[in-house]
Amino acid sequence: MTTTLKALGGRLRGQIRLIWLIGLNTFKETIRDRILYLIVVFSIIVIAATLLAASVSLGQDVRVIKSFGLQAMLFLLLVITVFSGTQLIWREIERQTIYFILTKPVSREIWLLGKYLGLALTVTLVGLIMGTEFLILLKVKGVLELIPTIATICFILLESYLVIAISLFFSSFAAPLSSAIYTFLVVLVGHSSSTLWLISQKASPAIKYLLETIYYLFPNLEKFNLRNELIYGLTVDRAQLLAVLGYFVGYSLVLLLLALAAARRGEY
Amino acid sequence: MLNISRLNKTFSRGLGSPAVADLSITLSQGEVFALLGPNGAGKTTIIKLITGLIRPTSGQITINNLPSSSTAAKQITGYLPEQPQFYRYLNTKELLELAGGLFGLDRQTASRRSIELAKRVGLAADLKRSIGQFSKGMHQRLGLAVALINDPPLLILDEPLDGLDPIGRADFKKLILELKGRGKTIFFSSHILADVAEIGDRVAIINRGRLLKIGSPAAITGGQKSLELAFVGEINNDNHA
Amino acid sequence: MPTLKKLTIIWVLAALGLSFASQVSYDSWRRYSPGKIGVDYNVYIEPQPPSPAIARGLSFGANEALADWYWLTLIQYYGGGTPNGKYRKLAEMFDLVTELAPKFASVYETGLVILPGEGFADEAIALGAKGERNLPNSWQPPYYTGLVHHIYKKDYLAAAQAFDRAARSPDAPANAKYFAGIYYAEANSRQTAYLIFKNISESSDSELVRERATKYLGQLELMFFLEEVIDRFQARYNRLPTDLSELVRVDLLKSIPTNPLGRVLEINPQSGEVQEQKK
Repeated sequence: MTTTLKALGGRLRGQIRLIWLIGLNTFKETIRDRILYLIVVFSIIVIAATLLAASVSLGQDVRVIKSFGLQAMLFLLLVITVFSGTQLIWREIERQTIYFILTKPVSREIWLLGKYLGLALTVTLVGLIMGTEFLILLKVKGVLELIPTIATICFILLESYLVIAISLFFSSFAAPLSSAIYTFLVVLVGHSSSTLWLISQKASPAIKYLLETIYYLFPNLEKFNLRNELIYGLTVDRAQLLAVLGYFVGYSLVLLLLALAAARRGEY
Repeated sequence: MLNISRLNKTFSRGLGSPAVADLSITLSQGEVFALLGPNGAGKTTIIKLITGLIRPTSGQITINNLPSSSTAAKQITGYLPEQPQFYRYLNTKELLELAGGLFGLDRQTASRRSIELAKRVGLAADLKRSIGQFSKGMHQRLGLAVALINDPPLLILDEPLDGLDPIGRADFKKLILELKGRGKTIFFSSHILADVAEIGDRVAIINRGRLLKIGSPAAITGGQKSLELAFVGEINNDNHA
Repeated sequence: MPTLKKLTIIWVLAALGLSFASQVSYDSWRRYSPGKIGVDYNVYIEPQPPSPAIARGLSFGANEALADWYWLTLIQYYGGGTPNGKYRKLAEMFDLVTELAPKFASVYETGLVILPGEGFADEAIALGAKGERNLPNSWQPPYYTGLVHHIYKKDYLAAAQAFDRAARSPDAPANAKYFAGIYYAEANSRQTAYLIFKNISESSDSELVRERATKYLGQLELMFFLEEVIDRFQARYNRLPTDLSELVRVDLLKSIPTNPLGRVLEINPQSGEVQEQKK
């Protein structure tokens, strides 16, 4: 029994190491994307623009900094995610580096998880850079509430990780441009979830059923939105946070499993 | 060592003609086996089927009785693709260490093997050089080093001499014979008949996915003046059949 | 013959100059010339706010940022001045911002201050009502609404009710209740005013407010007292007295008591009620 467990443990460690190797390699690959530097430069421009806007907001500068700053962070991270995520698999195929990986004793599952991890690392790094800029800005303004702000940034990152899973899912069977469009549309629908729900409640039974199906089927990205809470200084329920985490894990798993199924069938 | 049994592959959901039709080949340990065929004969398809990059429509491929697409089989196989491509932002050492890591080698072993193999394939001076600066021949050498990183008993090489200058080719052939001397089994594809005649123990001629003839270079040459003539004869006969 | 490089530079500079000059010319036409399309107001300067429903639907979760965007647009619009001095889209802009960000408190306050002066008193009151719904614990929306009712609509009862609601919010300023009392009195809801002033005179933290409330209370008590005397006069003489001094002449009063507020009181000839003398 102990031998079996030991063997299993060793095997698991081996698999994790493989995921880490592929993830690190993917990180090195995606961090070289020029769009990342554009994004970081753009984030500095956004800060400048936000400060300018805040100065003409009739005393609402803190509000404007928070709302514009967080929205810009989310938007820029989603751009990276959609742009890089939808090319992750395609790039390996197009550059024929896929032969290097898949002819090694690396299962397609490990390979895909490694790609996911790599892009998640890149997004985390960029998110940390932008998040730090934002924290410094709030601190300089004297309105920093550390824990709620960090929580909001973490949830923005969490949403980005979910969108990575969405883009990986689409890119496992569609070309980069199509994947990007599908991912973008899903993100839009995901952010319209509350509107969908409101419309469905006032609609005829057939339409209501359809809209509610869409509401549950598509990722409900508004769940990750703590921006309103931060702007208005509202507290977040711990149970609510746990529910969102559970949703993230569940939904990401579904997407990754479907992407794995598609990757297993792929021929290169 | 390598057993291909009644292998069939058809692309385009079965609507086109088969890329590989009813192929059966068995390799014994320590053999150097060459797959010969004109362009488009299906050599690369067969190799991709062996390495699990594509799935057979029917038939079986095993390596040491393990399914060839399994990770266990890949653990004992080294593969050199046709015109190998690698991550351009890595250098030689980084790439070889990555390859070693993917085979489960620990960092020290992977590092040591990287240096040894870089030296063996003539890239010792380019250990820290970015792969993006490599020539075609350097890619080929690096590809061979990657294929050897885990010291596999079976090597699958797709057009290994392609892109090498005469010195490189001589070196490569010498290396293959060395590996054979150490008991490695080598399965390679080529359309350069002189090289095949020089290093191959057995040769299979394929055309349009079908096995036409299999045997030693001498047996295939038969009464013809050269292996080349024999090969051309087989292909022409098949095309007109 | 200049080199190809020099020619390229010349052409690039010329093209840049052309595009710059064209832009300046176009902007001048757009901003400063009378409406060339025969419209009263230069529609190019006005913001074109989408309907709140469309804005919400197309915000994709960025409600607060979008609200801030329109808020900034509104500020620039109002601060920029319009050619004919009339801000046609002002009320719509305030409505849009508060639909996107219902809890954006500052917008309600600003709107209640700015809109009435630009001819949007009714829209201001509607904005205030929305503010009260969305910010139930905030005293500002009903407080400012009360001011609008007073200054622009002269509806003192509505003003009093608004101040009364404001006074119920936590952190309401001490004078909210006080104003409610004043406006109830002004609207002739004197019983309500009396109770409010009595409450203030007993419980307010501010000595000044207690003092003023006591004086208002005193005036109301005086009014009630005088009306009782008028009733007795009417029972005796079957008519209303011509003025308060007649009550003294017929010995129903020794003298007209001093009004603690110092205001002159008179009798309303139609209703017989005692009221402050209208200037």
